[in-house]
Amino acid sequence: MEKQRPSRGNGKNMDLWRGMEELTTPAAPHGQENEPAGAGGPLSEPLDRRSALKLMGASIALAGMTACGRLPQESLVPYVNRPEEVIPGRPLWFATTLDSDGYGCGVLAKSNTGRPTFLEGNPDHPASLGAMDPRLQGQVLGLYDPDRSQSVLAGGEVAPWESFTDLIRQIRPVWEARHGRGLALLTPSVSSPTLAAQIADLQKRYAEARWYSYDPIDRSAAAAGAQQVFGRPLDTHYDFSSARVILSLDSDLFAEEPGHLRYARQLAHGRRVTGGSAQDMTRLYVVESTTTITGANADHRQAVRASAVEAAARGLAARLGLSVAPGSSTVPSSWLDAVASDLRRHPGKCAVAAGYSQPPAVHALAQLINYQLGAFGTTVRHTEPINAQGAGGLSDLVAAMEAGEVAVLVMLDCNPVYDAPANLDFDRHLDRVGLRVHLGLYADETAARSHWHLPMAHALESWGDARAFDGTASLVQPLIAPLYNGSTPTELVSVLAGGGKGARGRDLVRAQWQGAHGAGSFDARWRESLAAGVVSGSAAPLVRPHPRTSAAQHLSAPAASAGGLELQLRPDPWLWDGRYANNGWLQELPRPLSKLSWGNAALIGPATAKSLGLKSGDLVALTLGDRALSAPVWVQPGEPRDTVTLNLGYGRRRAGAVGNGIGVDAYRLRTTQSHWQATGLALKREGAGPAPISTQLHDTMEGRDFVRATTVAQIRSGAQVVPPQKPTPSIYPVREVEGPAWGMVIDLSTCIGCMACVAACQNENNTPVVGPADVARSRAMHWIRVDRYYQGSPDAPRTLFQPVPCMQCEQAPCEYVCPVGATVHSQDGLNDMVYNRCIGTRFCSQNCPYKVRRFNWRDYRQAGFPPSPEVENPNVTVRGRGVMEKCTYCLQRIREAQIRAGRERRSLAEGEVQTACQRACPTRAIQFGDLHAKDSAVARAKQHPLNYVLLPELGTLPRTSYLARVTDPNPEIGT
Amino acid sequence: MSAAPGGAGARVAAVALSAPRPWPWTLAALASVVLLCAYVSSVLVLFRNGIGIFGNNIPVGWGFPIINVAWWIDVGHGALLIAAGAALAGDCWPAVSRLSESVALFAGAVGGSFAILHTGRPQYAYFLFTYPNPLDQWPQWRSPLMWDFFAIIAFLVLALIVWLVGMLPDLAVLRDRAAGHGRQIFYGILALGWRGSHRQWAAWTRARRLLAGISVPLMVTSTGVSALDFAGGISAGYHSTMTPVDAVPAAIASAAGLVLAAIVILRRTFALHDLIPVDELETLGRVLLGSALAVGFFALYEGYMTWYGANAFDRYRQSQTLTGAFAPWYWTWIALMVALPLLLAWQRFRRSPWLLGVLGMLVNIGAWLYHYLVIVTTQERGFMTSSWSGFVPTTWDWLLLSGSVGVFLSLLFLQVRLLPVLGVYALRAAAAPGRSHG
Repeated sequence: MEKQRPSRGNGKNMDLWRGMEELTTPAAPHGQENEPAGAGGPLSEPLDRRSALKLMGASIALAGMTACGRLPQESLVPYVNRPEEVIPGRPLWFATTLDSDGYGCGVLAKSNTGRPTFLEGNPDHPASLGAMDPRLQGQVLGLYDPDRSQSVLAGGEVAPWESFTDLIRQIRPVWEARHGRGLALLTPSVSSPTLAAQIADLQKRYAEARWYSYDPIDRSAAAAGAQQVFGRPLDTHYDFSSARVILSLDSDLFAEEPGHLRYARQLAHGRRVTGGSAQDMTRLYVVESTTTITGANADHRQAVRASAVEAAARGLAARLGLSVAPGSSTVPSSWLDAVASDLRRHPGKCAVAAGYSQPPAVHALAQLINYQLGAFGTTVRHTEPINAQGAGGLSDLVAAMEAGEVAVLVMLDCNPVYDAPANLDFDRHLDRVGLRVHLGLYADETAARSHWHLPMAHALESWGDARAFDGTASLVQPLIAPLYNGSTPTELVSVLAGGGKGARGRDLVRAQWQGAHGAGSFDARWRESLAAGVVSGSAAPLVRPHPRTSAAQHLSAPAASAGGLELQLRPDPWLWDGRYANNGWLQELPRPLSKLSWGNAALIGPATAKSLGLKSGDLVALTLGDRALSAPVWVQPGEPRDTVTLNLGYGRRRAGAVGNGIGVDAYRLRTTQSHWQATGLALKREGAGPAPISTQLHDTMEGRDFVRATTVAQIRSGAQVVPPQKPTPSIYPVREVEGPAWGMVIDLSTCIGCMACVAACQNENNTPVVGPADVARSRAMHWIRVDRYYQGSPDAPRTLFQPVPCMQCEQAPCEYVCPVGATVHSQDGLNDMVYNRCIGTRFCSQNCPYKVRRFNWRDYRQAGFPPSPEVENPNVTVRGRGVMEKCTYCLQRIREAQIRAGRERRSLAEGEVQTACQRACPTRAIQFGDLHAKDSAVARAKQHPLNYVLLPELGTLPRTSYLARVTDPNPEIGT
Repeated sequence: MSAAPGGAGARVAAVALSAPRPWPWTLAALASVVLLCAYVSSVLVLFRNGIGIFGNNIPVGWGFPIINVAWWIDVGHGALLIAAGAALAGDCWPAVSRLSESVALFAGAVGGSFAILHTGRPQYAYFLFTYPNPLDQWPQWRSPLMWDFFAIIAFLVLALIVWLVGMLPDLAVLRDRAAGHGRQIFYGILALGWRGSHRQWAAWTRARRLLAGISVPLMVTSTGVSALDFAGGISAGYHSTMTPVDAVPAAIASAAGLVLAAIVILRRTFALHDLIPVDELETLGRVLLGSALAVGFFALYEGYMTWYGANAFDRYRQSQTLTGAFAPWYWTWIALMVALPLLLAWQRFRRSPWLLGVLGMLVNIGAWLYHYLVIVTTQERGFMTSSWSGFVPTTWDWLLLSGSVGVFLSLLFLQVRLLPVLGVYALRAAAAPGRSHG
């Protein structure tokens, strides 16, 4: 269905009316169609005295109106024939694609009267399967960011688009004459087939123009590793649906790798305990050099220095029969033996994945091991490189700039002044470029150093396309006309190549696909692809490569492991490479493992911190060569010994009001040689400082059984993990309810702690961003939180996650203590919050043993970092100051579904109501539904032998319960 | 001391009407006015910015404002009981009666104001009341806060009546001795036409005893109901059946201490040594000792019952309170409120006014710390360890607290300056038992 672009009401109505006229029969004002000109009207008859006075009076009254300025002649006509399907108050859903770490991920965007307010995963898209992660969820907030670049800037001054296009029109003959010599294009890796084709077209047109591409979070080591093994770079992705053993070599498969949402779903499939028996469960082994979600979910984990990961890979390869030179590893030999034998026991049903931070040799080793294990074609799949890359990288560009070979540099959607490796000195070399053009969402650090800054259209306002991690193509369609008249990279390249600004993105994309598709039924296919959000059958064809026979021997020699402290640089889980630094939701969302918020820190393991005499909050000076950086310390259990991890994406100077000055800029320590890790880090304590802001200050369960965990072996031996709970006595009668009874079950075996649920809940329920000062005071407002507990030794802890929404207790302790009756129990089992009645005594929160209630300590629509009102869900009340709020089981969704079902005279179907958290979860760990419905999944889950509730001894009878976590550790490896 | 009726009345009247103000007194009065201004400005900032200006958070939803409610209300309740006790036991303690009645009213008023100020939307505090509305909306009756609301109202009403009724004859004295016409009218209105006839005296004495009789059960229940704010909750440090009971001696001890401090200062400043003999102070000192011993007993009892109950959460809290993170608060409270008053077992200390005054103030600081221990630390480490957090008071917390002390002191200063500060009736009863009026 073609999307009708509605107006923003600021004078840009032209599109709408043109569109309407195309779509509907023109409805001329009634009665004027057949009148001759001049007929009728007040002056067509002789005037009597009364009419004359009326007219004169009106004229005098209206005479003053000329002082108001010339009002534009517009015909403001309400919908006479409403565009199809646009019903005010009823949202529309559109499929589109957003960028997820350099690849496309299909989402469904909910549009409320013409503006997108919510994002959900597209179940038909292979990269999403209906799931979300916070980085994707936050993009809808970024659309309305008032700090976004709103106009073309020429030398810092606002200028119209025409001045830029005129300039290009003048320059183009020069380019044509010189075949584009001196023109350089800098972009991230391009996953859009249209953009790639356009750049190729540009290069054909200007043969000596150069295209450079770089990604701050680059995955070139994988391509280099594949090159070593196969003789050509290939992209590798995985299918864990049949995998029983997974080994990760420093690869954050389930949170950072492209396709992580899909991998998480597949991992959950292998770990879910259905019924009472535990089947052959997927085992995850992780060897990593920092703390990640993948490591936190591992059955067995080794935290070692980066060089030891390579040595472990070599050791493993040797044990599997490959002839490689061994390295000395700190990973115990018995551990590697157990892993190797486990891998060997599952040929074709195992996979080894290497992470982007590891050198190409490790990737090559992983390929060889996978081949040896027969994983090629089953769990490990190869395609030709999916993303298009420039001929050179950032270093090449800097060399060219230094040599004076770049006259015009066009930077599309990148921020090299901020995120280029420090040793390249990109900023200084930029001075040598005569004309610097930057296209970006924000007038950021690079824009400040450019002659021209052009506002980029957000993905939600753009036409385009993208490829997913497996090559599947999907279209990007806008949900709203560009708010600030921005341009997409596709449109800009078209301008460079000779098209005017008027070439619309839609036409360009359509033309590209039409050209690729060929003749016949293109329109139908186009519509189908837009509706589904996926171009069907466009997954990249798999290749079945064979490793070169000599590949194993020709691996580069293992690097000598240096001593001293090692620095690990990683993208921030939410801010990524810094592009989302101005996103309030993502700044405030706690990091999944450290629970840090509004800032980064030098993550140091407990043993290392102790030996260095550091504790959380100490300020340290990190020195690497001649580069130095001051950072606060955060003691992070699970960090390898003598390792300091620092997240990239902070310390921005021109991100916007939200992101400026938050955290420390780790890019200052990054070099081209040490892109991800560096040894020889010097650390000096500078003094004590305020502790980094964290939302969870206590890490252990103190012997209480919040997260109950067991193993397959224990279950098989009949041990009772969840003893039957005796009902606690109560003076209150048990409520018998007919009609729906809503309940939720969260499966802890499959929860990976990714916090997609928290981000989705914030989007759905208009949860405010309170800002760093209030988060530091433990006033974060997230209605659902993911608690993270550590068990065992602090340096190699077991990590347990537990999402905690409102328990919706049947005997809620919050209800009887509210003096004014602002929290009451509904017939369908929900604990309802009546915002209007609340006077803010906070007894309910005091009495909630789960502490799920959140209070509006300030007016967060004024204080804090208020979201743009456009992104707020119109179906959820915005709470004022002094009012308590909490999870409502997405009551607005329940009622919406009930109203719809009632209108259609039917009962609710299974799975018709899904809470935001449930829908976003990649592993489908959250089940929700009507406990009274026949055969509902959630009712069955409640009967599960592993089902338990939090704090049962308090007699609150929560409707939210958990399934105990079951793992299948390898008995050959001691705990 | 003159046994003639005019002598005592003249002295009391002089305090209000014409006694010269010594400079420490003026300085103290000014200081309390400064604090009063701090209170007013804090309240204005609070209304403008919301309770985010305090240090509260989730899990510690109740901080200084609720501590102050509990503290002030307890002092008020205790003072009412002391006043009632004095009235019932012969009514011959002029300073104790009058000052405890005043303290009851003023402390109750200040505490009641905090009950409004701690809410997130104080403009809707009237929701607590049973006001007529088209939605048939009643307060939620099962809530201890709801009970507390009505308990405080009942207490304030009773305290006001006791205070006014108790002052009637003395206001008449001031009316008769006042110099200016304005003052005569002022005291005349307040005195409600008291003429000192036998019938009026008889009625007044009966009324005093009746009010005192009502005050005793009201105090016990009202203190208990205020404590139910906590006992009615499920948190480990709150949820104890002893809380409403052990609040009573704690309240009496606090009030006794505060009234002692007030009397000692008054006595010293206006040279009322003959009108307020040390015996009166010693009596109140005995009350303080007794209630402190009761507090100590309940502390031991609570400790034993917690251990005996074998509830993991309660025991954890107990371990933190006795030897862990909260031990400093606990032991300071024990020292100030239980251990130090034991000095009063010796008559030498019991008859030393300055010691009594200092001890009285320390006991109140101990009481405040006790409330902090119960209210704040319980929530700092609740059931869910992932929600454990700290509480750090802000400047506004301290300003409002000290401001409330200023409000209280200002009211007391006004009382001393404008209204009869000693019960003349009681003075005469003390001087000549049986010949108390005429």
